[in-house]
Amino acid sequence: MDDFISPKLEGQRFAEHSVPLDMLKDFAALQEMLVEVAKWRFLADNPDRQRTPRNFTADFDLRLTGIEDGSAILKISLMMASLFPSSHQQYLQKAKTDIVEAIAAAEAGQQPTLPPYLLSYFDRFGRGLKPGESIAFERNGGTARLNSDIRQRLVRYSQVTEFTDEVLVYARVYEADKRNSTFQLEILNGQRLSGPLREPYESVVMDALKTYGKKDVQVISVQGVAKFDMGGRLSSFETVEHVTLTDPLDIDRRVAELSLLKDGWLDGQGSALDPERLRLAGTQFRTRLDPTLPPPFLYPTLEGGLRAEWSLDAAEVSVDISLVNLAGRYSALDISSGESTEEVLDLSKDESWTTLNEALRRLVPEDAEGSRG
Amino acid sequence: MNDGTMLLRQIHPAFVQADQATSQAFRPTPKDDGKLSVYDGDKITAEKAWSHYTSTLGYESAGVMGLLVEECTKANVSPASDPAPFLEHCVVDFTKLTTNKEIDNTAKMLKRAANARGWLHP
Repeated sequence: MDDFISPKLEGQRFAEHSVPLDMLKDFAALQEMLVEVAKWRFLADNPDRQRTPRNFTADFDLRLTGIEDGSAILKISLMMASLFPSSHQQYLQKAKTDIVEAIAAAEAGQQPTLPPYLLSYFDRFGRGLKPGESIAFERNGGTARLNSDIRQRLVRYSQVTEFTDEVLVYARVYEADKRNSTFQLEILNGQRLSGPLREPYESVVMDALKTYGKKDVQVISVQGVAKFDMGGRLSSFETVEHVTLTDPLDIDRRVAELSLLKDGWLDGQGSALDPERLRLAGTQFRTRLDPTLPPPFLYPTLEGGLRAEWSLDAAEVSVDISLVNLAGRYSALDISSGESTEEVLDLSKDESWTTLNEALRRLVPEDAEGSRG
Repeated sequence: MNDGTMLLRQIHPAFVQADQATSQAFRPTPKDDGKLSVYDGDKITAEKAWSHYTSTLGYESAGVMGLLVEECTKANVSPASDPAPFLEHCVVDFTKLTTNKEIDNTAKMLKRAANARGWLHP
C-alpha cells in the first residue's frame, strides 16, 4: 500500500483533524475522476490504441488510511492487486498531477488542459465544500487550492449547461404527483422548482401541500443536491436528503427570509440586510440564546439592522442589533409600571449573551419557567 | 372620531413573523414627520382600506391591524383626522414624544394592543 495523495482540508469544520462523513462523497468522486483521467492519459500517450487494456484500473483502490495533524490532512493510499502492472501505475500518478494542475490553472484563470468531459467531475468533487472552506494539494512550485468558486469555474470550463450543488432551501409545496414521484416547490423568492418524492419524507410533503394557499401555510426545509444553470439559478432538485417541517420562529428560516429584502424594501425606504452578516447574527442567536427561553421574533430595521422582540406577560422586550459589529441595544418595557430599562450589549461577546439570557429569564413568568426545563 | 373609533394600520409583510407584527409597524418612519398614518375605521372598513392602500396607492401590506383611539391616548399619542391625502386618512401624532426611548415604549404599547386584537383583514 503506497501513499498516493495528501489533500489538506481547510476550514472550521475540519479543525482538530476531523472530517465530516459528508466529505467522503467528494473523495469517492475524486477516485472515479482519477480512473477516467488515467484512461484519457493512457490513450493520449498511446495514440495507436483504440481503448485502454482490459482491467486497466480495475485492480486498484484508494483508501483513506489516516488523518494527520493540520487543519485536517487526509492520507490517501493506493492499494493494488499484485497483478496490477506497474507500467499502468504511472497513469494514475499522471492523472493525479493532471487534476491538481487543472485546479491550479483554474485558480490562474486559465482553461485547464484536461478535456471538458473530465472537468465535469468537478461537479461532484468539491461539492461538499462550504463557503470559506478549501481542499489544498501540494504541487511543484506551490499549492493548488479547490474552493467553491474555483470548483464553479472548473465546471464552467467543462462546458456543461448546468452544475449541481448541495443546498438547503425553505419552501411551500404547491403540487405533488405520487404517480410520477415528484413534488413541486415554491421557494421563498417565489421561484418554482421540482424535486423527487420519496417515501421517507412523503408524509411531510403531503401535509405541507394541504396548507398551500392558506393563511397558516406550512414552510418546509428541503436539503439535497440541486441543479443550477450556469447563471447560478436553481432549476430543480436532483436528490433530496432531508425534508423537515419548520417552525415559523425558526431562526435560520427567518434569516433566509430577511436575506431576500432589497434596498427600499419598505415602500422605498429601508436598507437591505447584509446576508453574510445576517447569517452570523442568526448563528449567534441559535447558539448563544438560552434554548429554554422563548425564541425571538426577528424583524429587519430601516437601517439594515436586525431587531429581536419578545412579547412576555410582564414586558415587551427588544434588542436592536447593528449587523456591522453586533452592537446591541436592549430595552424592556414593564407593562404594569410603564417604566423601561435599557442596556448596551456587544453580542459578539459571551458576557453580553449572559446579560441578555439573565434579563430574559427574570422576565419569563413562573409557569413558563417550569417548562424551561 | 371618538375613544371607541378603530384606527386601521397597514402592516408591511417584512414587519410580520408568525402572525405577530413588530412594534416598528406602530411608530412613524423618518419620512413621516412624527405622524403615523392610519385609516379612520368609522369611515372605511379594514378590507376597503387594504384595497385602497395596495391597489390605489400601490404599497405593500400583509394586512390590517387596529388600534382604538383610547389605546393611543393611553400610550401618550393623539390621533387626529388628516383628510388632505384622502378622506379617511388620520394620523397618530408622536411629535410630543421627544426621545427615542419614549417613542419606542409607545410603539411597544400600541403593538401589544394590536397583536392582542389580531388581524382585522384578511
